[in-house]
Amino acid sequence: MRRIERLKAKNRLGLIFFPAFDWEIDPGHPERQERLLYTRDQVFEEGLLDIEGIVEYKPELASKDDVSRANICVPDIESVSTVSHLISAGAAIKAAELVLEGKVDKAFAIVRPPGHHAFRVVHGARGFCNINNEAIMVEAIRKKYPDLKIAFVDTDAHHADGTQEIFYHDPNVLCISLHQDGRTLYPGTGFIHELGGPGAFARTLNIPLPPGTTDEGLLYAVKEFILPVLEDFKPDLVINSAGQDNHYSDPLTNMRVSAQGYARMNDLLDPDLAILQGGYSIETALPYVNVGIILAMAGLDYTCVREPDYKAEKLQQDRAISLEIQRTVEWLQKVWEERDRIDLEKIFGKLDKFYRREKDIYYDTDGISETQEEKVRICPDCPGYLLLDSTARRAYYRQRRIYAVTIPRLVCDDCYQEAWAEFEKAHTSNKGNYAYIYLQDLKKDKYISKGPF
Amino acid sequence: MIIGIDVGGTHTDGVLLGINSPNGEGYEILATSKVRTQKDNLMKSILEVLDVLLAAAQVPDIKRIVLSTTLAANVIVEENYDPVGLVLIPGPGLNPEHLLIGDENILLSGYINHRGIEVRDLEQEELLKGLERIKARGIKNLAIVSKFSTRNPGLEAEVLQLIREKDYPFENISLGHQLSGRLGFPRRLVTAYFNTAIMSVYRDFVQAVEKALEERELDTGVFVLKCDGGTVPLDRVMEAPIETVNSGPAASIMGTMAMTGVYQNKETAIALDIGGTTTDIGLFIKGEPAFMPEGIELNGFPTLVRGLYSLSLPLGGDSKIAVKDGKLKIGPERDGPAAAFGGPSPTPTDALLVLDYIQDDPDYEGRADLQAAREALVALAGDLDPTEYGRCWQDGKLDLTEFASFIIDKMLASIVETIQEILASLENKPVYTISELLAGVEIRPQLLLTMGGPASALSPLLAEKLGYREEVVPYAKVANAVGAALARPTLQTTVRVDTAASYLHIVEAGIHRQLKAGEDYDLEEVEELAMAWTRKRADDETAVVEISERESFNVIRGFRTIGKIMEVRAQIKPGLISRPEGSEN
Repeated sequence: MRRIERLKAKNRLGLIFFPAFDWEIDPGHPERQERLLYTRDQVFEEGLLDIEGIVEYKPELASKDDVSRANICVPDIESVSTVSHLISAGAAIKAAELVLEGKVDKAFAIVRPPGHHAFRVVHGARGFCNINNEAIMVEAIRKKYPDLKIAFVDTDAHHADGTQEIFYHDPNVLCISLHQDGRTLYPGTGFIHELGGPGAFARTLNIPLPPGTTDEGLLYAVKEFILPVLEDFKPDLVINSAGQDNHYSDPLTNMRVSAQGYARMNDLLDPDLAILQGGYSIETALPYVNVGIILAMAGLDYTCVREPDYKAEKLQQDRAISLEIQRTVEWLQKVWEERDRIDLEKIFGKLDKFYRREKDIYYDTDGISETQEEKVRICPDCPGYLLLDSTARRAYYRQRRIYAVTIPRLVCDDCYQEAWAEFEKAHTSNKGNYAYIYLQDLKKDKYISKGPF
Repeated sequence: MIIGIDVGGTHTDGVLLGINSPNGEGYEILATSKVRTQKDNLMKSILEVLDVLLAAAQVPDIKRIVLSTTLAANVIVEENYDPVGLVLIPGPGLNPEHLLIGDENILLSGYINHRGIEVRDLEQEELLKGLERIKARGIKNLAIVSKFSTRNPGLEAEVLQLIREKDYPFENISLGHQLSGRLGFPRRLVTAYFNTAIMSVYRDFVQAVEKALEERELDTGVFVLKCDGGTVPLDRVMEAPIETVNSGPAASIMGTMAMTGVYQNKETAIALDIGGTTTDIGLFIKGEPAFMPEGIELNGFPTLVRGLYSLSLPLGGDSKIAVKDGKLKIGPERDGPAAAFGGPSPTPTDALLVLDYIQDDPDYEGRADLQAAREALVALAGDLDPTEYGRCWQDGKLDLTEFASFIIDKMLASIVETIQEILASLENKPVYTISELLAGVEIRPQLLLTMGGPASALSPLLAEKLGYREEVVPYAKVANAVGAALARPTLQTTVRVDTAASYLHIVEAGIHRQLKAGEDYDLEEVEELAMAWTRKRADDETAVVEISERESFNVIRGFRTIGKIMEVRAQIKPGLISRPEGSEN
């Protein structure tokens, strides 16, 4: 027998693989039982779990408090999520804990359903997402590590609108999203001018990519823009929200990225955590993309991973696309460079006590239209609390309006008192306008729901 | 009458069991035999034992002979086999560099995907060139393994066909897909490699056994024990000789099953075989022996060989006790017998003798040199860090009893810790459905079953630490041979139906074919097929077959369901053909 050294991962990688083979939105839906079946088969057949340093872990269920730290579920958690969502969120938390406790160097949660389209207020499912796994994970780990600086790089083809919204005013969370241009794909957002609130300017960065973008364009954006930004921001934790629907075979998008492109991107990003998001080419893309990501994260050779129908010559990028990506990146580079010198009032208008914005949120999965007013307290000492007034409209003229006060963990004392007073006032003066009134107090880890009124 | 022979590393044990009750269901031990195992000539050890047992059977009416041997393991561990050539068809994925373990390796292009679809055919020229290279080196052993060959063995078969057509002079050939229905390309490759490696030696062994029986005019069914606790008829061993590797721990677990009430009472129990060098830990869950989660390891390589759960801890009665950096260390090496029996180093057995735990044991009585045991232990004390071992000193003098009990405590603690780790790792084994995750796995043993030299002394102490009841396995000295004698055949059949691709696989039976027109299955029918084939392959229409795994998924194109993928595994579990008389319950 030739003595060959047993394969050993360079990075200890924790895998939380939970395909939820008994859960689906419905049998014909892209988010169905067998979504990760072929991925499992490929991972098993490759023998990845026998490689020294790659260890599989079992997820745990996220608790109600875990969910409440990130999401305000209307009317309650049980009504908008199922146990599969709690497992998926729990898996994300577990992945982060494994890394932060030093049990592994990196972790990859291959779990479903995804979460990045879920906003803070949740009236139902949108973009196949109910609760926001990653936001739940961030708030869970910040209980122990409140000052953690976190960077998300969302590589799903759909804009990570939910994650962006939840952390829009949080200067400690950098949300970078790479996605197919919102003019051509759900959810229709994620433009370069969405840059975060006045207290967290340039902590949200969107890189819309034209339909037809290949490995070349994706890697260009990563190398030219994302890596330098990460170097400046110096996050304690880099999270890849690993959607796999930029793949050339994905049925729901128009991108042309390959498994090699995904693996190379993960190699470059070198994330501490990866959490699976979308990706619905379950037979021809997911098995290879996931194996590629696992190998890249483990620091192993991924260059032999290739789809059955891969043809390099068919995946050449148009020159027009390259130019467009270059222009986008150049503009964003400028924003990033000037982020601390920019006159915020030019962008946000006069910044008095509150900065106010309005949102129209469409729930494609559940057919709900939500309008929301969000006010953030402008405060020199803290990120400020949020006041949310949200109305969800469904078919047959059914509608429900709620009010919520959100207090961030690093709130200053004055704002904390003020926020509680706002909650009391909303509650006592409610004359039936609001069906529910919520308080999300991350400082004291207290979550209150009043109603129905 | 039935004969069971267990060839162990040190001794070869045999039992003759006789039918002893009117209904033919009970057996009793009529005779036993024990000789030293001759490593270079296992056959000789087997025959010595066999002849003693045959002589004891006055009216030789032998119905069945079962052998459990270390033959395969010896060949593998000592690498005492001819070079093996490997034909690998990996397709894309993990770089196969680390899998080139053959003495010659042919890496072929060609590619089967996860659905079993042949994406790319072999390149004949590449193959022929490689085969010539192997032939030129005079290599006679060949293993052929493709990725996903359990889903489509076409490429492996194509290689074999070409070898036959061109008349290549390979003596031993293994095809990966014939050895297991499970996924795992690297494991399949290692399994096929070792299977090929042991074929020549095994063929000689089978012939020698057949010849010996002929000489003794015995027309009896001969079986070999496998590492999953089941038996395989001698004339079918060559189909997958690798399955008989490491049958020793399986014999011990089947023996424990035969000699105790663990099965009848559906107990969850830990089985300990405390030997001189190692302590083997086995597990029963609700009366059934547990399996290794994936497959056993051979020479440090994970394989697809199905085996009973067994973990060997390098800690036994003869483990060497030493002091390193002031700290007490027990094992992992063994220098020889205990000091009390003329060995060079102090051992836990010496500590047990000093504590007077085993002196009455007929095995030790009168033979042990207690003084030598004491002196060997005292000699350790000088190097001990006194701050850590304070309780062993009294007024500046070593309290030998206290020291000996400290040693035993340490040994027990390490066994207990290992048991707890095993249980935790089995409970934390990942699951892939919500219902399984919510149901959780709880393995809560209540009973400790022990055998081996120091078992009677250690068993109550261990049980107390674990909070279990304890039972020393009766007739433990021949338990392995009894376990082998009474084991019944085991079998697994994997059936996979992909109605979208219109394909049927009965993997272990070597059937891979298109569905016929109008042929359709639902999950229940796939289960029935798997059970029927299991009975058929076992040649036993009445065998108790159970479904051990099942899954069913839709295949969707666009927004339409175009078929189903169903995979079912049926098995005949390890069990006993009967139980000996006089065993409990």
